Amino acid sequence: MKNKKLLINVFSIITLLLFAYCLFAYIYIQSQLTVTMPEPTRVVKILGSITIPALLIIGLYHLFLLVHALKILTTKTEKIFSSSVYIVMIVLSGITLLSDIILLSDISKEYLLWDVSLQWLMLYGFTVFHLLVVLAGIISVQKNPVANLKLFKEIDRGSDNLFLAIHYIAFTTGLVGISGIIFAMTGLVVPADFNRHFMLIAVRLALFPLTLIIVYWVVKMRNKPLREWIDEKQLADTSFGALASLFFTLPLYALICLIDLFTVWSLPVSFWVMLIFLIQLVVFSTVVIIRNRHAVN
Amino acid sequence: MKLKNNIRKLRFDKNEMSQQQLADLIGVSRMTIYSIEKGKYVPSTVLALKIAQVFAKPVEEIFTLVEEKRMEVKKDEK
Repeated sequence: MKNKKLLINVFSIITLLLFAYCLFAYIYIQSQLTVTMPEPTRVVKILGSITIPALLIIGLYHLFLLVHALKILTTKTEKIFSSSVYIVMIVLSGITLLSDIILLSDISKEYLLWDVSLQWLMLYGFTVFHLLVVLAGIISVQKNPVANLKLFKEIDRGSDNLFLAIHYIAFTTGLVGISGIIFAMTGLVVPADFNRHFMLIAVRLALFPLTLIIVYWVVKMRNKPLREWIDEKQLADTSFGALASLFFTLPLYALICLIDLFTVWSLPVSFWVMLIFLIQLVVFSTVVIIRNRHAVN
Repeated sequence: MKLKNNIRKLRFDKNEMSQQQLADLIGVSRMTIYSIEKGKYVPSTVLALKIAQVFAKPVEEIFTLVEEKRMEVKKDEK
């Protein structure tokens, strides 16, 4: 147990050191890659290539944090909401680690062709986001020692924690997705021609944590008959949530028809489809959470 | 009509059984037991029978139908 704790602490320190390295490498590379330099120097190339394994190790630490957060989620009832939101953040941060590598590679190819300051800004922004997620994770690991728990420990039939966690994650995912597509459509991030493409990436990214937790739930419940996956009260809450989300979105469908009829905004169909789907997800999960937590009949 | 129950009392009588223990015995979540006890969720026949089986009592001894008006009068009397 003591060795495990020591190992976790060492891993945390290594991750923080790697963050410091990445930040140093970014600042140095940015200062060197100017239009006056047609070819990156050897030092820049070496620093850049070391960044990739460093980011992969940080990714491994994310995986460890994800496992830890899932353990808290299934064992500590009072921390369902914070753990659910945190899981979404870990997954988003983990995926965007890959985009850091892509951004760095793009910058090295494009700095001579056009202004790459927006890409640098995104890279620094993502790094700060990863760092915040990791710092929150380190605090959580120190405060909640659940390392001795098994991740796939059998849970009781119809467990409240996992059921609620799925809905909290769906709620957070929905909000992140809505913000993502609205942000994408404003054209602030990418030129208007790429809006649709960027929006689809944002939605896919946002839905990833939800997919992950559903897969985790299916794996945990795999040996139980389907009728036992949720109990009758949870089923009643789910049905009510589905009905409420359907009724809530009916006026939205009418509104979209009117917008289209009078060509108020000429936004792509995919935007409306995604928006309605994510709003439905948020309404559905909110209703289920309220009914389940407050025992509403 | 409202469905009243005395599950809480029966749990207490049965070695102070917790909601989670009862939930585990009948294969539902703790929140479901809580909702039934509070009278906020009406269980299915199967679930009511399972609860009755745990306490070894007939269902009608655990669940009773009460007229809501009468309950309101009782509240006023208090």
